[in-house]
Amino acid sequence: MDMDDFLGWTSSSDDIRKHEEAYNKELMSGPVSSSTQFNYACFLIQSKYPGDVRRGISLLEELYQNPDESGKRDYVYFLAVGNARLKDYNQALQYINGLLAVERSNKQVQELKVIIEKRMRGEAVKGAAVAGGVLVGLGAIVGLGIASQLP
Amino acid sequence: MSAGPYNYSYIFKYIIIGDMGVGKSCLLHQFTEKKFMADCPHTIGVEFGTRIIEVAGQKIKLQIWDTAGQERFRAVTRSYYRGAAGALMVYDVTRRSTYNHLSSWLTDARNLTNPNTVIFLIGNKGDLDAQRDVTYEEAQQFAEENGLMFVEASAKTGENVEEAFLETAKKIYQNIQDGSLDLNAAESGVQHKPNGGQAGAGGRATLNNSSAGQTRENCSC
Ligand SMILES: Nc1nc2c(ncn2[C@@H]2O[C@H](COP(=O)(O)OP(=O)(O)O)[C@@H](O)[C@H]2O)c(=O)[nH]1
Ligand SMILES: [Mg+2]
Repeated sequence: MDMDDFLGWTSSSDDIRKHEEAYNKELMSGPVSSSTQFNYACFLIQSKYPGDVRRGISLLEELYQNPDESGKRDYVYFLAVGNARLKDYNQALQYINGLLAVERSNKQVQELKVIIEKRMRGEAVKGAAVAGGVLVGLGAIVGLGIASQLP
Repeated sequence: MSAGPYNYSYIFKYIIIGDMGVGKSCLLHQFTEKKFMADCPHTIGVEFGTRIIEVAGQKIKLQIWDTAGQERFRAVTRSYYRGAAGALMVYDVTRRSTYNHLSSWLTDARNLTNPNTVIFLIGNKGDLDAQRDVTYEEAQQFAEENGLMFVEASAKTGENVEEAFLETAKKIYQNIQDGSLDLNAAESGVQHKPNGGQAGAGGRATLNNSSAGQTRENCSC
């Protein structure tokens, strides 16, 4: 396992439920502390269900927008992880590049970037195969057209 | 990733735990790259390293989860303990508080891993002998009382860094050989690749370079 597989690492549903309960409990009695929200969001981000990941992302965005927050780099990093897990690689890279603008030599962030770019290329190759299929199809049709014009 | 023969026969999962600033990430870099990185930013959640080593003629890939020591990450990093075959528990010989917290790290490690997980205690920053705040003898005694392996090391000079990672692997391998570690158990932290270690066969043509001995070659932190 390496960083690549880390994107595939999933949190257990027990863990998610436990942190969901803590979050809901605080929500009922006033504002949720940022540590409770952060923990819940991190487990959601690593859920195997895209719906959970999306919810984790919006909880992190909420934290990030709070001007009093000190842990912004942590939120941004996990936002990149969440978006990468949803295959929204462009959004993930925006977060990564934002982090690198501040911490150019952060190796942990550089490694995540390498993995995301690798996955993007992987998707591009898949896309090209599909496009190639279409081209072959067109070629065949054009070929037929030409053939039919031959005497 | 799944096609073709592996060039290693086992994967062992390690975690590195301990207070923030004791040198966990530096130990990892020293082990995977043989370099000391004096000013690394704080780890966010978890960082990874891999290296292939050899024990008793078997190639073993170590996948190392270097956890953030900050309290704010505790809940998240705890979830990464699952399925670790080895745990390197680190304190800083120049900071007594990091030594005093060992029992809480040990409790976590014991509760969240399986009974066969090998726990290795590392007293890091051994190069700073003049600033020493924890004696070798007392740490040695703590290790003995808790059945841990122990060395003092330095991520800066590299002293005893290889030893800590390799001795842990030897112990895990020994546990496999004598049957005390059941590879079929869900969270043993060890994966066996039955046709691994076969040389030749054209190697693997994938983008994943993690099997090429040491990863992380293009980093300059
Ligand atoms: N002198 C000395 N400094 C070290 C050693 N290991 C780490 N450091 C320093 O200790 C600080 C924290 O190291 P880091 O690996 O980020 O700690 P972590 O939070 O446990 O990952 C850094 O400034 C390192 O340069 C060591 O063996 N000797
Ligand atoms: Mg670190």
